[in-house]
Amino acid sequence: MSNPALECIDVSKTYVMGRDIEVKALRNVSLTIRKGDFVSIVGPSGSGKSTLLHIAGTLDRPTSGRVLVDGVDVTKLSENQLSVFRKNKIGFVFQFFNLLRNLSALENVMLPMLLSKRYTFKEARLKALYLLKLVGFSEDRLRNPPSRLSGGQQQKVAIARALANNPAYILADEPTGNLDVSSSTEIIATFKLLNSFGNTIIIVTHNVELARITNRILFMKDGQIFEEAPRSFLEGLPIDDESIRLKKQVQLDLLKLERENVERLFKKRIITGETYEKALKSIEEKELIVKQ
Amino acid sequence: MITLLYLTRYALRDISSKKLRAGLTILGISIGIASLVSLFIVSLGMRARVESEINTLLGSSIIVRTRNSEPMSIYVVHLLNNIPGVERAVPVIIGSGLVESSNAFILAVPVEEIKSFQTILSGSGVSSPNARECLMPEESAKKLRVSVNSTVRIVTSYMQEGVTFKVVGLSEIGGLFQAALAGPASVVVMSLEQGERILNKRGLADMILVRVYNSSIMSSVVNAIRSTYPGLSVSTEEDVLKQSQAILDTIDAVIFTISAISIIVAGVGTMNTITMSIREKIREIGVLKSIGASPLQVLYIFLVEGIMLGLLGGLLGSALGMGLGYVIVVYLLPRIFRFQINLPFIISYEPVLNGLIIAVSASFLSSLLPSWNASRIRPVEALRYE
Repeated sequence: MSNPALECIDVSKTYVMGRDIEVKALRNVSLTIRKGDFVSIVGPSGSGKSTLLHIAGTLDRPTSGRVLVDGVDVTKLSENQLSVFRKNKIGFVFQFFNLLRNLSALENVMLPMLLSKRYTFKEARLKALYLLKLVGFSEDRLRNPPSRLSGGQQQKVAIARALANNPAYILADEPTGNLDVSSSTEIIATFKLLNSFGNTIIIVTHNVELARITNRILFMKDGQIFEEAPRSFLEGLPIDDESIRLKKQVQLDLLKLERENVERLFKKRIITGETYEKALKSIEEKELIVKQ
Repeated sequence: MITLLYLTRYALRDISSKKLRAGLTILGISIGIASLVSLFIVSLGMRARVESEINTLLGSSIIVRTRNSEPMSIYVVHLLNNIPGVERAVPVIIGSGLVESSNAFILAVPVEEIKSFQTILSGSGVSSPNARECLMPEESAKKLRVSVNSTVRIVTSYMQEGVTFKVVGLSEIGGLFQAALAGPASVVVMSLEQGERILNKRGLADMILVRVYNSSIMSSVVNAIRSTYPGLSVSTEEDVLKQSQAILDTIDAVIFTISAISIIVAGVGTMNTITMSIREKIREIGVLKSIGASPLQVLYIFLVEGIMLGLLGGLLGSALGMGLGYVIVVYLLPRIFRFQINLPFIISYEPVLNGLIIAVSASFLSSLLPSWNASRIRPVEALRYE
């Protein structure tokens, strides 16, 4: 059995405000998220959702407890190691999209791949194109800067960007919080689709529609987490069969590109045999999911 | 490599998306660099001019004086003439007096040597040692309103009633003696014999110019004079150049101190721009870090931005400085002072290269601190920043 995507063991976070006011944002939270999970975290404001998200994203450190991402204890890593770790293991999707405004849609998706130095410019470009196709981004807007994209389009770019380096999981913070109803529906469908291709997704949200399509809903209150019974999938995805068939093809193309990239890296001895085997296995697993 | 190019492009787009602010920063830097480059050009001109003056005047000559600068006996001339390698020793008398009631510097040399001291522009040289004739630089003549063939009255402390001389020729403006010794005063050149009379220096010389046959034996002649007559002070073109270099270096130091102030101001401007740029982009820094940009990569982005501003400012500043230097050397300096300063306009890569290096390093240094701070921002704080 492979490692869980995310494992929080007895995690607490205490903010010290002023001299003797302490805010306990997280109280002994334990949580395991398996690969391929589609989890939503809901709860009132101030319940500790964002803190949990930041800690799960290695953007913040817990006061106590351990956080394991893909089997690696991240609480012991330095700031520099964390930046490398985040680049390869975690994809972020924010409420306010947070695209880099000096870069075009395509370049925004390419950036994490280029930062990781694992992809050549050509590979990164091709993969970015596939990813944007996968999330349903319209092809005639690839060169537009974020300021000339609608909210829904920007969020699609952000999701594609989050997928760029094959993260262990995607963390989405209120991904539909700043979108109109129809864009929200599209984004929800996109997440659903991505999950069905084997991507692990964790969403923090107020949006009940969004929470309902996830296979696991966690409820947070006063820094504690409560598990609710898993629900069956929402009936009828807002995507027709034809488009799913097309998307499956894109996903397969993506995985093919991925396989070529890993093979190149292995041949050039940039990655070890073990990493190579692991990557190949994960690619094969994903291919299997799509072909089912 | 590709990553660096990509980050560079990111930084450059950031500059171009804030044209006004970037433009003003570049302008600030370029003003500092322009002042530096133009003053550098003036300094280069000054050095070239002084060198060529000293060279024309002295060439392969040696200046001999007494150690205490007292006049020496004319007999020394004969002694020096006997040293092997010496072509000719020329006695020179220097003094001061009034010409047409204004201060003047009197230079007396043997008649046949007068032409080797100054280029005669109009009129002729002095006809004979005992003729009461003199030459003046064209500029002195203009100031005193005399021309060829007019007479001037020269008064010295030994000739209270004054002696009348006929101006027989006008020589080239300037010359080392005017520039270095007389300054704004007028200059008259006459025969050695007349100088002896009106300055009461019969049988004496203030200095002796020693010509050698060729410059390759100069040092051996200098050594011969030094060892034979230790009481005499000997200086060559090289020594005079060295002395003048020391003066020019001081002037340069003043010039560069002034420019340094404007460059510091430009540096602070760059620092401000980069700080503002970072303040505006704190959220973006958070995003960059959350998608895995390392602190070093964030540092790189903002450093590139700073250095680019410096480079553009340096280029613009060098161009402006060249223009300004040209205007100063060709139009301003010959006009604004009481005496003309004619410097050559020298086009050289040196001022431009220095300007660029200073601009880039100043902007590098001033963007280092804010960029470093930006690279240290913790992503969770940066993402919370509104």
